[in-house]
Amino acid sequence: MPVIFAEGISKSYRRHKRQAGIKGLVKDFFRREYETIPAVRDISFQVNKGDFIGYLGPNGAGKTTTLKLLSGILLPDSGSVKVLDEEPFQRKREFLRKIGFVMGSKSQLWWDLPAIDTFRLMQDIYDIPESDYLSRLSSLAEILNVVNLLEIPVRKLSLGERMKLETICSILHFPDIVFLDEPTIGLDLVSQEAIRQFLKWYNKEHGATILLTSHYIRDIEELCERVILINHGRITFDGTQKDLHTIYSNYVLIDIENSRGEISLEQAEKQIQIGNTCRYLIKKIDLPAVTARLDSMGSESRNLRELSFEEVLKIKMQDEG
Amino acid sequence: MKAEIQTFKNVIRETAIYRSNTVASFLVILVPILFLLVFWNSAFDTVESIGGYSRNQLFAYYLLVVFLQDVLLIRVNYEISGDVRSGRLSSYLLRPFGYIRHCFSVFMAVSSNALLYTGFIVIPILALMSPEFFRLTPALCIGALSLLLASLISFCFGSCFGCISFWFEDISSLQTGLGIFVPILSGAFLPMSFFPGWLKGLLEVLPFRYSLSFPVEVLSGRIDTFASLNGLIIQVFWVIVGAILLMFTWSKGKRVYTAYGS
Repeated sequence: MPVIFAEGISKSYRRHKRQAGIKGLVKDFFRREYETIPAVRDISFQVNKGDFIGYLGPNGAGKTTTLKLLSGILLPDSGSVKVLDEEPFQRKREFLRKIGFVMGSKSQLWWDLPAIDTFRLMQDIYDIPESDYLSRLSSLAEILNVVNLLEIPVRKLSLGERMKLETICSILHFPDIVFLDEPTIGLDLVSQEAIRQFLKWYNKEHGATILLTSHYIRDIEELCERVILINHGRITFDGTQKDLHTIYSNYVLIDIENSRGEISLEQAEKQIQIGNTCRYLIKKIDLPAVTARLDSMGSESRNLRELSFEEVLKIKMQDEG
Repeated sequence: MKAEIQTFKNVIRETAIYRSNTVASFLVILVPILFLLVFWNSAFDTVESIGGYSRNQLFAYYLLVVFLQDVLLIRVNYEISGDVRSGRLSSYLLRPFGYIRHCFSVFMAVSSNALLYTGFIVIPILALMSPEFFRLTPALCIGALSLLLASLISFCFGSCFGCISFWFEDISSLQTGLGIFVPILSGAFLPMSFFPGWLKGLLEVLPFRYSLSFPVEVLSGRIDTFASLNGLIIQVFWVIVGAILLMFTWSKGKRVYTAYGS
């Protein structure tokens, strides 16, 4: 059953264009110019109850803006959004009680107080009965292994410890939909794994719908069956991880070392320079012709392989929206 | 109401963590007032009254101003402006607990804290100088009510000012201007009777006086019961205007909120 409907939503930001130099500064003072930056352009998708979706794209692609539109922080310029049968921007009390938002780069915890004080506030904000509050807190804290951190001022905790507590803070009211904006950003591998396992547990145990943005491929690989890719504000792919693999199952990568792209392969669908290595994306069907051409050019130090999921994502993310 | 109380408690707890800093900040506000008292003490060497105030009355006025200005002139505008600019507002918008209610709880907690710390220093001095303040008189009751209304005026207009950040990227110069002019116009530096007639007349109707000077004048018995009740009506008027203005700026502002930086 779909719980999120996004139909042709767009959102632009108006940004002041700063001009360089003293002359520009003076000109800017008297006649300021603005530009409109489209953050999200006519995107549409649906999300079913209980789905765990990876929402991916390069920096500035429109991922966070989409989550803000779906959670009601921002009002779309056009298009319609329905989340749990409500228009998010109306921010009705009942709607807000059913969603949670973890922002990897923003803290919800009171900086100078122990996390337990913020949790108590959350208990009151969401009207969580005392017995439920205590049992939820103890189980969440145990799963994330933070029982002994609850009474330590937040400012004295490490980033990983803080992120675990942030996650509890956003989930304490057991929301039906959780938006996660880079929840593992800057965390060490152990903390990343702990957060991943926790999210997996929450999704399974509570049948919650989760939308996750992350730059860590492991997060997506482990958690999200369905992946939505966005670039320049447009959706470039919406399907399962398997679908994504299938698209590129007919391709191989050829890395040619000590090359600056001087070898031109007309069959290459993409050519990327990585340091001293030039990488070509080739259809398997073209492989004999490409190999013959490289042999004829005497290019020996080359490496041919199938694409990993990370490489598939990287290539797909570079697609224009 | 539970969320408001918990927010209130959290602010008090937070302040208690930095108690030495808090005590120091309240001691610091005493420095200018000490200078003022020394200055006015010298001024009274040659005259009996200035602007209709005797030495003791003027000292009492300033002590009350010190006592109440940190309660009434709380910088809620800085809080709101900071949250809008930094994008911190986003996390408040996601909760089923209105942001303005959150700000009001914080405002009340900071005010109570200020009252406690400043009162600890000012009340004993006031009790020694003018014990009549502490008698239960109509002036004290009206004064308490006007104090509450003054804090609402301060909160509503301060919050409206903070909401300007929805439309302008940087309002720090405006904030500085506000920090200079509001205390002057609300009588923190000089009682209203010291102002020229035209300005005094203007301030009789503008909200500034009713956010500080008026409750101080009522509490110090400077104005009679009729004028006090009249002032209360004007205060109620400004609370209503401020609340409407706040509702308007807040509802317009959140529509243009861009949530930068989050």
